[in-house]
Amino acid sequence: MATNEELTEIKNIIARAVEQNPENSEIIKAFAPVIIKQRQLAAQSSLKKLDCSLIDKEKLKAGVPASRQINLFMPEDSLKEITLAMANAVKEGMPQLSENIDKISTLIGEGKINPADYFKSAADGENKAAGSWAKKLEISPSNTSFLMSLVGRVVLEIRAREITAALGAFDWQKGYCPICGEFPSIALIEEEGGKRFLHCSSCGQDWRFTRVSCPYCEKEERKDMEYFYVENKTQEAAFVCDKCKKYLVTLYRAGKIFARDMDVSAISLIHMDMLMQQKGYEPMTSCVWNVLC
Amino acid sequence: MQITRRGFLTLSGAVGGGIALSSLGLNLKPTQAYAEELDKMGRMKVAKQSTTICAYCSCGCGLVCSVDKATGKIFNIEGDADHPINEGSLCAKGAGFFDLTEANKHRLTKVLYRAPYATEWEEKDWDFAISRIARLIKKTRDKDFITKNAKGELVNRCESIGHYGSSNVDNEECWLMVAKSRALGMVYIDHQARV
Repeated sequence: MATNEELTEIKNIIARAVEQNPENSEIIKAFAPVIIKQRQLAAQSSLKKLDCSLIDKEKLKAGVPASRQINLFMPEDSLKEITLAMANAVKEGMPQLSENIDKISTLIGEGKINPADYFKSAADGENKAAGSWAKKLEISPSNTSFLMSLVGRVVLEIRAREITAALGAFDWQKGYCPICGEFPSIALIEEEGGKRFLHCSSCGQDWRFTRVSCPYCEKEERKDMEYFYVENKTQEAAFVCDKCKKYLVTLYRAGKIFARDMDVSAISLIHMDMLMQQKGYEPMTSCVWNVLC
Repeated sequence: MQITRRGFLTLSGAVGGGIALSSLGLNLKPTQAYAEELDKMGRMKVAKQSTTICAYCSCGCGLVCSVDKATGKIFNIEGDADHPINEGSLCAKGAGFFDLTEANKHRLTKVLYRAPYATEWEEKDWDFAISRIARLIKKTRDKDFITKNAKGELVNRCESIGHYGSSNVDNEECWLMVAKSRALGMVYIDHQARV
């Protein structure tokens, strides 16, 4: 269970982000209840344990993420409870969505929607659950996808923690997440030592990655790696790749004085997403705050 | 339940497939205004980073140099965390590398000359400096050049001039300096990095 200290810490992180980024305060405040609930649920919810012995470290070394080796979602997972709890958090942060979210919650309560179905892959490999529910039950497909992606994060965060605890240290040299296979939403370059860590907003996993390669296309560039930064706020940066035209929002040489939540940091830097997308670059991954048009 | 990678990525990227932030009913105008202001005021800067090797000692630590793309000037030099030798850390000399760039206001940019017994420095051009140095070297060498030692063995050396090298020169420059020093018969040749 999330301790009071942990909850206080995430609330303090959010309060600091609002104070430091007044231009993005409305968005940060809207996501605040969602992030707090996700952290609470990830700490509290008990899922059936994965058989982590099925994860082959050699395959990981070769770049096969855990999600391709074992199923991270199980039918026994308490997805209904997690979804209803997340629905309440969404309503608190984004009251404009209340009507649609209430409708989805009611349908889940009545058993007409089984959240687990969302996480089953369709035969053709595309997730069509939200579209199919929308047609049958007249609910917003985008709001359903939004809610379910928030639920997915809770489950995947629990799985990421479980897998890293079971495997201990393992070799991972790819630009996508070793747990879920998603590309990073934000990077951190440490103040001391200058190591780059990538962060996956799908499961919350962080991993070290070289600074001289693009995490998306793996183009190695030892000369002339371009990045954008804000004058007098050099911590706010975005690295770009001229080959794949992707960008990665980066906290450059960020200190350790205050605790940090990488998702809150990513939301706080949403103006960087806007600027990069205006310049014609695309994010490496689409998450709930960086699809802007 | 079988989830393929493609299916899974569709799941985790579902929002990107259909949901824009604006569709969540959030007001993006303050963020948009801020982003536009950053752009219009020219506060968004573009930089280039290149990796290089520290010129000081023989360790060969990795560095990352950041150059402002608009001005072409270096504005930051830091240790390269991916370099196998230093893994991002630098010694005191390496950490002070930025002071070797033109950003260091104390760095001399013109030749300064103080004549014997003078108290003031005078600005001179390079032709003056190079000619004077060459003249003094030749004069000293010619005066003190030793062709044979006490045993009558051929030595062809000059013991009254020493060469003190710099870590801030590359291999080719080092070769040139050593060749020049040997040609003059110099035997006292040393290097800053050994100190």
